[in-house]
Amino acid sequence: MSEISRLADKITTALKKRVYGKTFYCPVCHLELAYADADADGLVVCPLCGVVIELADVWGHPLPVVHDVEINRVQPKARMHPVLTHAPVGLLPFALLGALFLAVVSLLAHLLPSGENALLHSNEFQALLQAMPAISQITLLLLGLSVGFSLFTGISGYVDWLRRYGGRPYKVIQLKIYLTIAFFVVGLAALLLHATGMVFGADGLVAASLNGTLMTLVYLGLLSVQMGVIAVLGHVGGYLVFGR
Amino acid sequence: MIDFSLSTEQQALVEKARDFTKTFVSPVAAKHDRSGEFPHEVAKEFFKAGLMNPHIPKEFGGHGRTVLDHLLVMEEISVGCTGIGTAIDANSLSQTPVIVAGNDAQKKEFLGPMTEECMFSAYAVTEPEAGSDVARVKTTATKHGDDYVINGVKWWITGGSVASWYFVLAKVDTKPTGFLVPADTSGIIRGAKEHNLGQHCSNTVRVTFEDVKVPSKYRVGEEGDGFRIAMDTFAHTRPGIAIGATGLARAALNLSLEYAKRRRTFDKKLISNQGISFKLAEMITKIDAARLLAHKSAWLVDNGKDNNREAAEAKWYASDVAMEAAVQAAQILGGYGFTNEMPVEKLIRDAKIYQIYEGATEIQKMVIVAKLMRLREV
Repeated sequence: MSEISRLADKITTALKKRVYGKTFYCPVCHLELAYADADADGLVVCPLCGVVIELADVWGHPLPVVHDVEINRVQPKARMHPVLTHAPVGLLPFALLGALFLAVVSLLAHLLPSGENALLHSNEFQALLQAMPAISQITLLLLGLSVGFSLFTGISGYVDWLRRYGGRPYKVIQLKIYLTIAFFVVGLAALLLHATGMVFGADGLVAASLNGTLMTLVYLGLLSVQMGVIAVLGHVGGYLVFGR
Repeated sequence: MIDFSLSTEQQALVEKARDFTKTFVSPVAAKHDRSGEFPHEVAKEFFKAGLMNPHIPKEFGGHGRTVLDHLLVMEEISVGCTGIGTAIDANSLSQTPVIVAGNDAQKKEFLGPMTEECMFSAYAVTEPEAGSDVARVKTTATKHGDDYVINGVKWWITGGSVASWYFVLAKVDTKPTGFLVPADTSGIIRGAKEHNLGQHCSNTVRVTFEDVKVPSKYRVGEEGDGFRIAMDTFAHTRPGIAIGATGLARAALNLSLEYAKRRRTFDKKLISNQGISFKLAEMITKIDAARLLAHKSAWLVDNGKDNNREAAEAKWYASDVAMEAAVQAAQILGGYGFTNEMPVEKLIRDAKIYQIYEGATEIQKMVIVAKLMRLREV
């Protein structure tokens, strides 16, 4: 277990180094910030606690010197971003579950033996097959809502960034913007595949062909990428709001 | 003739070590301090940069550097992190008995491989009941035919669980004797890592020897030479401890200076307050004095002269300077010197061990007085 956590730590550290570069911690709220967050005068305003830090590097050791604190920071009038954030985060897992369910039922429908008393011909399974188009439509709706809400979440986050954080180019916010765009674009691609019937047919099942299988794998892959992206987004956003 | 300047090669060595510190040591110092994880990656880079195992003679594949050269490197590393410095340089302590008293076969077998890959060794002398009083060690080595069988417990062994071999001090009858013991020998039990006050990533463990069979060819010197070898080793290594402490004091000064030049209080820079600026003046003066003592003691041993008193002076004085500088740095930073989000509180924790290991401050004073008593005048 310690080996796994060590490996995870190594990967996280490498990724962080790639995205943030060298980092330091705000000495007041302990938020991890990037050296690159400092402006031309070496000043950084901590996005979490609002202290104004002059960053010095002493022999590779970060030395954040606190000069001031922004006590009258702009507060969001309506907390749209934190509220909206929960929509794409909450809906996507159900869309993924729906997609997995559709894929598994398709697999069973194609692989189960078709004898007189087989499960395939049972009343329950037949009822399930009849419900498949509806399940496919619900999955598509959940995915559509998740991707659609992500657009509003992104816009509200952008407005918050301009108002509350003064549009300062924090690495952590840049990362959030890039990830939001990635989530939206990947989500659109998945929506397109689903809505055009390239993955699930009118019967709600995957076509029993190589193309059908490949499309399903691509579709599930896109949803999985979205899950990963939104997990990182949620973690980074939570870190930005609550700190360490 | 007195010349305090460095040669071109030495200056290049300092710059190389400084770049290494800024690239590989300082950026991970806080992380290793928090995790206590041994800095394997830094050690590998240290080895690749040709900075590890500086004393190994050239004929055995090493760099054959002087003690003074070693000091120049270790001062820079210690500005970055003395925990990492101790972890990656503990080899020097265990290699020195082989270099000063081992035969060629021992040097080839134990030092040779260390020039080919990043490996560690440990100096297993201290025991639970015998720290400063080295001659009191209870570990025994009993002769059985052509072998010795070692039994005993070694305590606070730096690098003890990563070492490939140990220099062990044990008593043959009543005679303290040194042995080289491969770490994979049956009967060696390595204890858990100790959770110390500072220098967290330095690997300090208990090593137990239970009926550990060692061939006679691994005995260093003759039976009864052990105490002399241990003391000769300290003559080579105490200047290194002194310079580690000096490096730590430099880190304290660097941080204090940068902070005092930037931080504003009562509408002026902190450094404009005499109470603060005088602290900085005292720090740099004491650092210079500590470095001069360390360099002189290294120069003496490099030139084959007795440096016992000077090494003791350097070790005692520099460790006190490190402790004082770290505490003053925390005072200058105020509350920020007390939080573990800033690099200063770590310096206080790391500094303390300098007043203890490789002979406590009181032992250094005893060495100095012992030398002083033989003089008519100074």
